[in-house]
Amino acid sequence: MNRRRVLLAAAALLLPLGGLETRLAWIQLLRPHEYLGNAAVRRSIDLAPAPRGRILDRAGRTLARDEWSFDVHVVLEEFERRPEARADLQRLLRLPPSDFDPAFERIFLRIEKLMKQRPERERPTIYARERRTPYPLFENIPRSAAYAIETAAERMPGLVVLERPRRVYPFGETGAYAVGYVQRASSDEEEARQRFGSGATAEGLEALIGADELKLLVRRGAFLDLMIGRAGVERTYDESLRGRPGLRILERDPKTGFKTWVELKAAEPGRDIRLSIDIEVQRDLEAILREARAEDGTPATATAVVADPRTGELLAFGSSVSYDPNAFIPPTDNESLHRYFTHPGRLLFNRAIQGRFQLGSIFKVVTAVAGLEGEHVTPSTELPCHGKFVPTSNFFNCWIWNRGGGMHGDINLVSALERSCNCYFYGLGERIGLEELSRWATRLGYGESTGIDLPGEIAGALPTPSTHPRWRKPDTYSLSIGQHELGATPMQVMRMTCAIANGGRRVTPHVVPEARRAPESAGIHPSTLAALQEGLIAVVQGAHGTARETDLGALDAAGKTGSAQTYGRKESHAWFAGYAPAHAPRYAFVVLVEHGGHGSHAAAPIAARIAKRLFEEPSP
Amino acid sequence: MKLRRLNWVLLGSALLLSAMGMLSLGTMASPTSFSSLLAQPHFAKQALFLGLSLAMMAGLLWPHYMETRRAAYVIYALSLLALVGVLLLGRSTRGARAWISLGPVNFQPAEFMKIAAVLAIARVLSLSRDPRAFKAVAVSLLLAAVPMGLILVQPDLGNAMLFYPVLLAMLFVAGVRKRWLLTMVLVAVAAVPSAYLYGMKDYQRYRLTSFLWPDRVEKKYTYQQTQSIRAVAAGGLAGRGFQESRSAQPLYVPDRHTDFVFSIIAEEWGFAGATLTLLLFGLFFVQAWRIAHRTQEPYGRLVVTGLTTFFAFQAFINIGMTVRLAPITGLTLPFVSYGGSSLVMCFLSLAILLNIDMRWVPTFAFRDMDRNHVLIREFLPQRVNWLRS
Repeated sequence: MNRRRVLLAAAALLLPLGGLETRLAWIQLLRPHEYLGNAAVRRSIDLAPAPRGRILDRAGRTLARDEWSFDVHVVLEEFERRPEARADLQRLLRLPPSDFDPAFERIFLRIEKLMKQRPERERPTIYARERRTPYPLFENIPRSAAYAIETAAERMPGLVVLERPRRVYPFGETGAYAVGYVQRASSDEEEARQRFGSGATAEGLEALIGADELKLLVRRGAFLDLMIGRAGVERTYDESLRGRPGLRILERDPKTGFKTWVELKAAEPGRDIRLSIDIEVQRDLEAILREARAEDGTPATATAVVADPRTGELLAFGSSVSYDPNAFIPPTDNESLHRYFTHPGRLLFNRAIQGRFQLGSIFKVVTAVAGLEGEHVTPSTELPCHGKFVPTSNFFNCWIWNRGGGMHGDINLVSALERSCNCYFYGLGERIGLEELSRWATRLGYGESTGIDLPGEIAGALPTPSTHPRWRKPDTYSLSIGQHELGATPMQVMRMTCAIANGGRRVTPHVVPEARRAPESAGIHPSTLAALQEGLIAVVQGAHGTARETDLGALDAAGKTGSAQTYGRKESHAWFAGYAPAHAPRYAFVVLVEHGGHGSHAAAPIAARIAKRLFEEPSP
Repeated sequence: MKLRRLNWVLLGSALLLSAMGMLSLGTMASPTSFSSLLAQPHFAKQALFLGLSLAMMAGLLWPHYMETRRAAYVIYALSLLALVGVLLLGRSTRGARAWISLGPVNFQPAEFMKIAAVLAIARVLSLSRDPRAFKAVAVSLLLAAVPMGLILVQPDLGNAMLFYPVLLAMLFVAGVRKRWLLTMVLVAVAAVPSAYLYGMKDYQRYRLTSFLWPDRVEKKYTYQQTQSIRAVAAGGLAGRGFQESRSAQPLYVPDRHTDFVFSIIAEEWGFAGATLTLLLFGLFFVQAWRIAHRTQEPYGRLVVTGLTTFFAFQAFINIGMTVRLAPITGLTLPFVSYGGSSLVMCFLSLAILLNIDMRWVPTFAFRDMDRNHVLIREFLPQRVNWLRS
């Protein structure tokens, strides 16, 4: 170890400083213009939108994808330099003034809004800067127009054509309630802020351009121009479908219009997502539903859900009405959107999970389960039906009494289900009581959301001792046959049907197989299930079954009809919930015809057509 | 502690460099006034870290630096543990697992490993019977190679590579035969092509090729450096002025306040400011080497050599990459760049340098005591504090 070596090392490590100094002198003093590049070039920073992941059906058919489309952006300062440019652009895009002028108006508003967020003295600088920044003007312009703008930069200065992914739904209305749609984040700023709030969207951008520049991008509304899922799977799985925007710098020479991109951070495309929905089954299901008629022959709104009872995955679900998600993709046509929001058929309303409907006799399944589990009856116990349950009242009659004074006599559980005898269940309900009945209803999924991976699901309503402290016996009678303040979605009925069909396991309905949750036991004894299943088979295949007059029997199906009285003078809701084949269920289906009349006549035939269609599919 | 023996020049140059770094954070603030700069979160955070660093530095001046020799292996082991920990449960930022989150504070174990490795290697070389023997060299090599490997896995090529020249400098000063050192250099050079082919990630290759052949790669790979040079060139002689680097027509230089902070200085303060920065670094290095030169105690000398080499290489490569004299790496500019871990590490190292400088003792009659230090140690009374091991 010696001191001379220290000096040597010191000398060796001080030399590069001289090298750096020389280099600095070369760049800064001797040849600055070589390194400065074209001083006229204007740089503007922008988000690079990430292509959204595709949505595929179970066979891999594309239900939603991104296509590249052309947007035209405008740099106001340059554009306004040539007064005729505006008229030229309008002619080129063939737009009426009613569409054309507001587009400019919107840009002025955005700049104004941005300026208002900053102190007074900064505003002139900001105004000048923003007038030199490209702002989006029109989306999805025709290819020919894009080429014309690109090739004639001197005629329309300040116009910049940019490519941008645009959502397309090839199947349109089919399956729209499952797929959903996207909208620009600005359509609901509050919500967008919440969803971008995690910071994941902007992660890594601050390090590239600095916090202030990032804030400027936010104020300019760059993030609000991104698309986010608003409904259906597009919304539930928005995080993974959306991907992450990148960052790019646009370098333009305003004189020649020549532009280049520099990508500071590549956009991360969103992930594809595969649904359990079969779009062909879905299409046929919707076609069948559109032909739904009430008993009096008038068209009725119908909703159906088809699922695999073993897992809870949905094969198809929809209504006789639907909407076209393509209508929400900008540039939107305000009139057709307006139609969606004002249509009396409530087209955007996802009835299968958002509609709260009276349940009717379908609920007798719950009463039966509660009765057997609570050992209030055995499958062979017979209860009397005299047509009228309470002699002094006309409220609690069996349907057969109302039809012509008939009665069922003494019948057991299986027969009661088969014939949908009201009196039997009034009597059974009386023995069970509200507390136990509501407990079993909760276990079978009523009064709570099913947990499906679609947004906006409602929980329905179920009377319990805590919600109804002044409960009386007649209330129990009503509830036992599914009347009273009981409201459920078709999806909740589906969940119950699955549990009966698959041997007592509560599944979570879902449209994305990856989201499957392990089913949990509902705690129903096998003997109870066996009696119940026997009853449901008798409904379809028995001599007195309420659904015997349909094709369901030929398909070895089981199920339960329901005719739920509704408030007012309208017809009852017609229900059918069932599964097939009865002894090894592959499909469970729920059909609801709103104000369709009797389940056996309005809903069961539709269920039969759907089931028939399902068995044309190769088994999954 | 004798405050008058504190090396004020060394400390002063470091503080001035930090001040320049703080001022350049103005690029991230609103272009209004100096007062708005103070309210700016990056500025506040960096000021907080500077205060913290200074406090830690002052605290580290009290104990004798020989305590670090005693604790060298413990510090090394702890840093190694942190490096392994960061690989297992670190926070991933831009593809590299380099950060550990401790509540609101994130720290980068690689920065602390630098000090730990220098201390451990200095201990091995200063305590071995013959620092020139194969065993001492091999152990030093191992002590440097393990953290290098771990940092390489993160992956942080720049910081990992830094350990090698530091090791060479320390071995050189310890008196290892030039033949061996030459061999080690040649081995490293020979390893470059195979490292390029098998060891590097794609973005690392692009950084290298875009440095060597800027015209042949896609524009996005050279953009950062091109913009940085543009900013430097825009500075001219006197610069564009304070906070002018973010005017109505900004030149976007990615990572400006951390890795490319020198481009802000060169743009805002021009050639004059850039030269001042280089001069401050020069002053710092000259002072540091003076300490290494006059300290007779081998451990201290080796530590000073190692830490100074770290500073020097990091500064050269960082400034070099803003003017395309070096490929882009993730190395920060000591004392100047924005970043807590880096700043704390710089001032901890500085504390050790100052501590050694405060306690150097004039030699006995021996012209070169350290060559025979093992023998001398045997003659010294056992309870001399600074030679306790």
